[in-house]
Amino acid sequence: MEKAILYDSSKCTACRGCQVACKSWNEHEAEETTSQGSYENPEELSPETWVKMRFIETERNGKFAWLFARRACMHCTDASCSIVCPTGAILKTDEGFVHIDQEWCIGCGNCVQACPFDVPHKDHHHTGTAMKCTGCTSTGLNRQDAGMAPACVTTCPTGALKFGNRDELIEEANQRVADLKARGMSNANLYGKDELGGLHVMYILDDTVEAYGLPEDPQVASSTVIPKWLTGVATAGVIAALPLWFVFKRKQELEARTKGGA
Amino acid sequence: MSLGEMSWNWQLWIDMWAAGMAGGAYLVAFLANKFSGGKYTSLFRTAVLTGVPLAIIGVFFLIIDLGTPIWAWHLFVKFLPVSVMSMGTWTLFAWLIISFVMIILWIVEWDANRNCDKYSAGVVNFVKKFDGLLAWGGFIFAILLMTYTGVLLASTTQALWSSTLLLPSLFVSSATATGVAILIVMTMILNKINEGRGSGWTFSEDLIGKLSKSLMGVIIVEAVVLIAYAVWLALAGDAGNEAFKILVSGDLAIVFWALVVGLGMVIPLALLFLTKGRNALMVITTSSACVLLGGLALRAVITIGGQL
Amino acid sequence: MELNRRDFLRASGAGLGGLFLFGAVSDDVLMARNVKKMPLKKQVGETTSICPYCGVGCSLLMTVENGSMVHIEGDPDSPINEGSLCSKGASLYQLANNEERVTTAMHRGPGASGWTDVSWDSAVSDIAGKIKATRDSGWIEKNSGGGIVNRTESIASIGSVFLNSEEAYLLSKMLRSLGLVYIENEARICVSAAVAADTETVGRGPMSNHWIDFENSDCFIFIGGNMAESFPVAFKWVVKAQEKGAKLIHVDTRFTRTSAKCDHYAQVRPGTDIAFMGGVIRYVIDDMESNPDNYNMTYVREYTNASYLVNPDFSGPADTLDGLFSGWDGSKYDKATWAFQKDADQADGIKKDPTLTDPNCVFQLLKNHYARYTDDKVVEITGADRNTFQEICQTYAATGKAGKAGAIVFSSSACQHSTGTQTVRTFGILQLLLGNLGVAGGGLDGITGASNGLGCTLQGLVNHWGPGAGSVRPPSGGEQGFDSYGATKGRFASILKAWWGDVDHNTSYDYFPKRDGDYSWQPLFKAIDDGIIKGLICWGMNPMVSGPNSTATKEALSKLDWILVVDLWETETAAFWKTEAGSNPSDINTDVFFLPAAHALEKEGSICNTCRWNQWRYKGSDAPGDARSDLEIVNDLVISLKGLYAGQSDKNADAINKLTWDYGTPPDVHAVTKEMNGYDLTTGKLLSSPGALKADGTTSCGNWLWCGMYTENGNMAARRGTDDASGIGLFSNWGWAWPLNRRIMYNRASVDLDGNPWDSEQPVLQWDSDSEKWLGDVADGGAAPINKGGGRPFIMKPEGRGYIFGPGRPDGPFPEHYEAWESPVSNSMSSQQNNPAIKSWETTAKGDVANYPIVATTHRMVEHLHTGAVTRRIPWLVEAVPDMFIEMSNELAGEKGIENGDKVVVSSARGSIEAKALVTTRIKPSQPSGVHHINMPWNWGYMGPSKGGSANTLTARMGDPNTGIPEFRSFLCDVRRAD
Ligand SMILES: Nc1nc2c(c(=O)[nH]1)N[C@H]1C(S)=C(S)[C@@H](COP(=O)(O)OP(=O)(O)OC[C@H]3O[C@@H](n4cnc5c(=O)[nH]c(N)nc54)[C@H](O)[C@@H]3O)O[C@H]1N2
Ligand SMILES: Nc1nc2c(c(=O)[nH]1)N[C@H]1C(S)=C(S)[C@@H](COP(=O)(O)OP(=O)(O)OC[C@H]3O[C@@H](n4cnc5c(=O)[nH]c(N)nc54)[C@H](O)[C@@H]3O)O[C@H]1N2
Ligand code: SF4
Ligand code: SF4
Ligand code: SF4
Ligand code: SF4
Ligand code: SF4
Ligand SMILES: [Mo]
Repeated sequence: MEKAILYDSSKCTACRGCQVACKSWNEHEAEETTSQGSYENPEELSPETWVKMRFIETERNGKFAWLFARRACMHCTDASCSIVCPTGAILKTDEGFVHIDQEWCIGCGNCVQACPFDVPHKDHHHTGTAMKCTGCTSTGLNRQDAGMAPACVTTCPTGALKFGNRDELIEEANQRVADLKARGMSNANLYGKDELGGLHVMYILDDTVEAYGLPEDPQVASSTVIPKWLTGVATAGVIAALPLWFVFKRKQELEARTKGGA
Repeated sequence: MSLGEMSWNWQLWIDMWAAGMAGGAYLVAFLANKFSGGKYTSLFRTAVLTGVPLAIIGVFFLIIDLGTPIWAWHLFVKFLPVSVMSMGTWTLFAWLIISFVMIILWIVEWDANRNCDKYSAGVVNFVKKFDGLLAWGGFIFAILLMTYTGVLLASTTQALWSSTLLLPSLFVSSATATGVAILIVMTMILNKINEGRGSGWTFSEDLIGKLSKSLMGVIIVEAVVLIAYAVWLALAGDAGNEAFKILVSGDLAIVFWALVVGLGMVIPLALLFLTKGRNALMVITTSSACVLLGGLALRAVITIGGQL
Repeated sequence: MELNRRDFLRASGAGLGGLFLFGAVSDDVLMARNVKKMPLKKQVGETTSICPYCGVGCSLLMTVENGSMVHIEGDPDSPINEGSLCSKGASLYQLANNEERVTTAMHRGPGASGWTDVSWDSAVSDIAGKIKATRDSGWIEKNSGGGIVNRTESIASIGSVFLNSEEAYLLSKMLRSLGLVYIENEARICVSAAVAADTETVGRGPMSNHWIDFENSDCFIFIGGNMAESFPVAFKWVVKAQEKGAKLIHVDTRFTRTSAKCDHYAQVRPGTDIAFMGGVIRYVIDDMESNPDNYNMTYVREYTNASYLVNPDFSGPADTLDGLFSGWDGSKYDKATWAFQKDADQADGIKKDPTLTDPNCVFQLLKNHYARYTDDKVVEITGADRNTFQEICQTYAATGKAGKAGAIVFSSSACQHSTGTQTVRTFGILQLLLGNLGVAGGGLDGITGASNGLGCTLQGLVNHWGPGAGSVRPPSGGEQGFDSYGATKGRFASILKAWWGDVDHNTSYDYFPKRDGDYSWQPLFKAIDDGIIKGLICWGMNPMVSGPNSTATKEALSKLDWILVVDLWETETAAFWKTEAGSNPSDINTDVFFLPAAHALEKEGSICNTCRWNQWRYKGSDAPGDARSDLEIVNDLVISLKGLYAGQSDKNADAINKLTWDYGTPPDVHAVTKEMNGYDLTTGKLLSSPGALKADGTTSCGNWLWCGMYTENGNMAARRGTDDASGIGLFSNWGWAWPLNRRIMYNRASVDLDGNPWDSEQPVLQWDSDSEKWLGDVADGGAAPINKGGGRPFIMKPEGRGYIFGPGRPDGPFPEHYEAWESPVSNSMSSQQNNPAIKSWETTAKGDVANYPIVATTHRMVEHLHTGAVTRRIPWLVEAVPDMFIEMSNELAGEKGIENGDKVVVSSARGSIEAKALVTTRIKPSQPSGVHHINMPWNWGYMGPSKGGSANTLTARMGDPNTGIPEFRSFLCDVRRAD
């Protein structure tokens, strides 16, 4: 039965309980950071930081607005990371959560390059493997298996994070989007219902997808891989046909003819 | 993103360059041999004997760049057609196997020639036919080998790599160019080594002339593909345009114009063009060397540019 | 959770049509790997405790394995936090496992440049010796008038708000038995102004409603408060209210994480809240007069003193007196003209005009007073946007209707001004006008900030309170003999019996030190400066960073003979003599003792959150090394002191020798809780309600507010009943709210004169005429409804009515806008620039506008606590907020050539610090005045892994006239690039 995390940006107060609870449950170290002139720290996801909050200062119908966006794995149905992974180290649970097997990943970095949301990061210093939010399904720390909600959802004070049956959450989210629209947030929308075959981390946004810096219509990294193979092979053909054919085959015939004709 | 944080670094440039060159050399030598009715089998064998170590060097660098090199064998537990890198790994593996087998067959053939009664006619005949078959197999995998690195980069979210469909063809043309160049260099080296010793392993000036003409032709194709690639990139939405700017006028502009375009294409083309007809071996060798360096520069610029 | 192969193949295959369809390859080849099924390597714990940081009181589960903490997360059973924890709570694992903790007793001799580790016992006996020597040498048996006072003014104690209630109680018992009068804690410099204001307005200081009750609210004003960051998990209930349609309003000096959730946000210049709220009150009064049906006029007439007639000679700033009220004699008010007119026929003897039209009635005086606070005036002073201000007035006035409820949520930010008390007074006045007190979803809320602010302070850790607050205040020099004790004799006698069980309370009355004068925080530090105080006990507090004017604090500490610091780490206060503090150790001859304490998750006891809910804490991991609970430390000290005083009879030695102290070693915390609850000494049974307290010495009770918490039926604070019979989220079976487990104070104001609730959907009380009893919450004052002869709802006020006209305050019966001590503009409301009764302990000259043109204020971050002594040692929190920074507008940054992220120097007349610049659009210069202001956190200091400039290097020792609370929230500074 597919499950999902539902993030409601209109309820989030950026308390960053999720960022800390994830590190506490998954036993990750803190990173060295310095203030870069915003509340956001650490700057980027990393093998130690699987979820962080983004702070976006913007204007919304004439009034100042401060948007808070969760940044972590979206647990895509069509997961580019698992598709491109050459060792099959990226597995999917029955509930739809994507999990990098730390005892099988060879750290080739392909998933890092392929994820539409720039989520996985390679642990250059310790294990060498790629790491990202596992939806709290890491081996030995599998909350979902033990019937518990992920650590970030459990700690969230305002109900901005919920975990449960994906379809039920979609229903609840649609209702919430309607409420937000009624409250004057005309741009409210649900992100993740259909993107990439349906994400297992869906966002209720109280502003446009673009305002939240999310890809409008994310594509699986290898969606156009066949034509790319073909252009490559075709070029080989062109090269074979034109210069090589011209230089070797035709020259061969000319020589034969002149030898014959002379 | 600074250089240190990129997950694909110089080891990948070398792997793509070497594997591409091996595939390119195979393709060129195979076709040259086929188009000329089997006149240049020694060229073909040189291509294979050069390509195999190159491919092995490429794989070596790829493996040491892995996060967990000791688990590289995990690549060979599963065959995952959906993963380009998996496809690439198996292609490389297949191409190497085919090349090894061919080399063994050549040894048998060489042994048979030396003491003709050692092998029965059937065996010799089988070796010749099987060798021909393998050559075709190697040809197909060589093409895949040249193409796979381009497709690998192209099936990501990095704009420079994925916004157009032409990265594979750019890498294939570059691979072919470096393939011809390495063949020229190898023929020069072998000629020098075997000058006085009269063994069969030398190459006619005519062949080298044809190779240099082929090099000119392939460079022209590569230039055309590069232009098409750049134009398509510039028009491929904001992200594509952004990536185009990085390449053409951004941080990597100097390397791109000087090494990739200048050294890799313009100079060799000019040199070859100016010395058309007169087989100036020195000029041909230098232009080949330029093409080789240009090819490496192209892989570096594209790999870095994609991750900036 | 077996890997689902179908799923995997379908997803990956479908994605791109399976390029090379090697169908022949079977699943197994592809799926050589499965997600390994392994049991959890760590379980979610069973042992519960309460988060030590803020006053929300989140319950948490601890997993402990052989004494060490394995995991901590939220307790899903708690109705307050339902399993949630904010970033601080979620990082508690790193508090429990932290190598920065001090593990041995330490001592630093005069002039020494480093610590020496000492054995626990030798440290305790040395400290006891120091205390005895300083106490006895400075002993004051009689005051100048010859009255027995038995006090010492040569030892002072400061802190804490973070101990368990039992620990604070024992600390208070020890300090008072030693004769100390200089006893203060954080509450003084935190929300003391709110206590003074609310005591004037509604009779009690703390928060009136509770967190879960917020879900019942129709509208919130956050002003002088940033609830989403200062009470983050409690904001859950605000979000639930918003989901049900509640409107959120934030009035702040910058756009914060609370503002981001609000429907209306008004930016105000720091220190101008009275102007803003004065404008809202004016709007409400005008609207009340034009459409009275929109308001609960009965409530205003019957439950407030709006109808009282004031002495006709009363006049104020609105008349002729240009910023002053009648009776100002140049240094204080003679309040004769503020008195209410008498009327013998009235039961309470006060003349009233129920029609609220008499020009001398409070309502008309109020209207006359705030008529000057026009929209223009509000915009001019505060810089708030006009339309937004008007929207806010309309939105909040709507809560005036009977059945509607609005909550005003604030905390120290409203209090820490030279006009702090009057600022909070505006909140109380507005809530009384709108009938928002005593009702579900209403109230004066937030206020106490720290996790056990109430539980500690109410044990008498402020100089003017005994254990049980004002009604058991320490006797003054003039109250010679128990009979002359002016406060509540029954409760005080019970304290005397709890402390000196074997002595008659009339005798032990003199053991208790009597006060003559003001021993509060700022006078305390002045007394240290003046050499009156020789020894300081600093228990769970870090004044070097939290007190105003850090440089002055350090100079004072350097004059001490000795200081005892009881803390978890080597804080800035413990290391004021070190080079890191900018000191030269050889110049400082203070004897410094350090005793390492266990932190909250390493000990058992009770804690009382912001809304008076007492919850029980169980011991999690073991304290490291020699560190031990504060309960044990007080116990060790008293046992050592008793040893030293054995046989001595002079200098009130009996107060120590005869002190009842038999909690065992290590002390049993339950015994202390029971002592606080109190016994019927005739039966030896635990009392069940403070009503049973006698003045004749037959009952003992350490703290009447805690009477009923540990009865014969057991430990009420440990109750975990999750049922809510009330239906409005009272959860009366979870923990125990003092007094008497009442959840909403003044709740008899939630019903009409016949006892029927104004809001039938969310009734707090309902009078059941059959059983003649109140149904619902514990009625505040058990009397019947007013029409059935019962008293009025505000039982702590003389006539049971809320005081809109508050004559008890030294700086005026109505709040009037005055500029802060350091302000860039002159007061456009009157020529009275500052609060006339302002108190100053500042010795450096006021910063002038020419050198310091920018207004500055301070604030908290959700990720850090106070001086950062704790949270700057938690890596996960330092990662989130690593450096000291200031928030400034783009416009100011432009003028000063500062880029976002630059290093800057912020300076005031008292000092300067470095910080990073956070240039943001969330602050704008005030319009029309063009005045710039900046906001800065004050969580940094010179010790610990994450160091930074302390904002309190810049603040001044100015105080509100009512409580002396420092003006942390508005002073002048300048900012420049630090190149
Ligand atoms: N995370 C965290 N939570 C805490 C604490 C902590 O240290 N960290 N401490 C606890 C304690 S002891 C307390 S007392 C409370 C304090 O709780 P609050 O007072 O709510 O918190 P602050 O951040 O100090 O101030 C609140 C807001 O007041 C604004 N402000 C500053 N000056 C003015 C002014 O003149 N007028 C107005 N209207 N607003 C102004 C600031 O910008 C800030 O956003 O928090 C408690 N909770
Ligand atoms: N400029 C400015 N200054 C302010 C404020 C402001 O808003 N602006 N806010 C004021 C307010 S509201 C407050 S409440 C004060 C807070 O001021 P402080 O209370 O001085 O600040 P904390 O950092 O909380 O210091 C508490 C100390 O107690 C220690 N501690 C914690 N738990 C225990 C325990 O169980 N036992 C013992 N023995 N010690 C323990 C901690 O390690 C820490 O060193 O600051 C005030 N100062
Ligand atoms: S814990 Fe919840 S409210 Fe806090 S930052 Fe995370 S999602 Fe937002
Ligand atoms: S968000 Fe990225 S890492 Fe996560 S499942 Fe999707 S593709 Fe994979
Ligand atoms: S880094 Fe690991 S998980 Fe990512 S693609 Fe490579 S093998 Fe797969
Ligand atoms: S689901 Fe688990 S692993 Fe993922 S961000 Fe939340 S706490 Fe971290
Ligand atoms: S700091 Fe306050 S809101 Fe956060 S977890 Fe602790 S008690 Fe709850
Ligand atoms: Mo506080």
